[in-house]
Amino acid sequence: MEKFINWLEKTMLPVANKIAKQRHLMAIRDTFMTILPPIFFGGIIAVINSAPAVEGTTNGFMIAWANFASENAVILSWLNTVTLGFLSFYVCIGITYYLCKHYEITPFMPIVIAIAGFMMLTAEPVELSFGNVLGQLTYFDGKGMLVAIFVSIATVEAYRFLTEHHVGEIKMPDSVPPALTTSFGSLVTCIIILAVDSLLFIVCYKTQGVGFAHTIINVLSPAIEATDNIGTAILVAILLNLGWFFGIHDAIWNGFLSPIEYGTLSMNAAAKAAGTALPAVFTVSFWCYFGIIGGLGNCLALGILCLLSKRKDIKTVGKLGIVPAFFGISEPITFGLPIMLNPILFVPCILTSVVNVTVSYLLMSSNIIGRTYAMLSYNMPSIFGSYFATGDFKAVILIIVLILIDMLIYYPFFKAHEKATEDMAEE
Amino acid sequence: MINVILVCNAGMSTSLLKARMNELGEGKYCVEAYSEQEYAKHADHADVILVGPQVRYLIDNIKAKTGNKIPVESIDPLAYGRMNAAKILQQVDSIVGKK
Repeated sequence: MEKFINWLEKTMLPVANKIAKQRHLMAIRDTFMTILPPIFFGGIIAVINSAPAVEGTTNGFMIAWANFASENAVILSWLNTVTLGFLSFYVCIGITYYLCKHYEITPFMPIVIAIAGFMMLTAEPVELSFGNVLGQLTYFDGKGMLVAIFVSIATVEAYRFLTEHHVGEIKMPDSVPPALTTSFGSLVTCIIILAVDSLLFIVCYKTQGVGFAHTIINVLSPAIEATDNIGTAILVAILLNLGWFFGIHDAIWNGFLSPIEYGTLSMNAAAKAAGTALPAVFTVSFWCYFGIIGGLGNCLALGILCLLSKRKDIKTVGKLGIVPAFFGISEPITFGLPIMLNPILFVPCILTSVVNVTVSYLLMSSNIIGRTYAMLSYNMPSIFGSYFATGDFKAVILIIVLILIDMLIYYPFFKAHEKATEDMAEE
Repeated sequence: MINVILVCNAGMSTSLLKARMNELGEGKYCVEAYSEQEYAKHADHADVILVGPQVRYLIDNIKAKTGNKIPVESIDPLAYGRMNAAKILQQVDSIVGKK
């Protein structure tokens, strides 16, 4: 076992390091890590906008809330749409910025042309006349995520390639102010990129009658829909917890995972604001509030078991770890008990998440429990997060049940761990 | 005074440890916790950089980013999980002693 673990350590760490260093994945990851404010703001608005049903209540606050929400539904929905519902737009800016930072390029012009390119490729003209511009912005939500990633990366790479090879560079005399040199100097470079964006739009519009994003979605929609299914949820549960078992932070997956799980969240938010049925189940809030309760390894359930233990050292781990675990931080228990590289706890560390996502996915896909349309914070305890993300009180009950199930799954393995480490009891 | 920087993904779990290390260090150590995105800005006057075991795969990147001038090590997992500040300060001492 030890040899096997050593071997895995030696092969896995370099891979993790490569993923962590890959510049495009890094830019995507940094984007999703910093882009939380509009997601959070949109989430709060969505919570305010979805007052619980008031039939039969005499609670003044509940009634006032429901009235406020219904009177201001348009305003609230709009605020939610332009923040969380326009996520792809912000992601496009973020990836452009972080990739420029990586290449040490001044990000201003690339961001401007990336936004222009994103607009060309995702918005669709409906009516253009004097003093009247109508556009279709449906693809600014998660549906446009692929386009946002494509435009931002392609823009920066093209910009870098063209400037490095001095294509279209306009040389200015030294007496010209530097600000002018940058904007004129990159004029042709930017025009080339915008021309390519325009060309993509024109081709789609002429042949399909719709924008680029719309065309892409039409082609890729089976593949995109395929990402939201129970198999993905289980795969994510296995992979992320497997990494965690080896003590590798789930951040390394975010370059792949964030676009998917934030994309579906943003689609749900847009649908919620529009008052239509929520299309997706597997979102970032589904994963972090229902899939991992108390952080990876479901450390809230395990932390409770530690607290109940008769062993003093294990109880101490529980005392140290339970509060962080309540807020979704599982490091103290993972490394303190430990779960990491502890063959006895390997099975439950993964199984608990698999059970959590399976049960939650089935209940949400059959609409017994509300689907998620808001994400507040990774550190919001699941008990609260589950309610705010779904607006459904039943979700809170589900969380409590899942914690109990997780405790049951952990229990025999936990006991075995206690037994196996008996000699370490009194240090 | 020994300047120690702790790095983890969001600077969240290391900040739990930071308070304990500063308290126990009684002014002999100045411990700060930063996220993976932030640490580089503060690395200039660091004597030691310690990373949370969950992001130990970043060690090579951090070494490269700080020009191989500052020792970078992973914190002992068990000491990290049990927030054993004394043991981690010993680790700091032994790294500084090696220099």
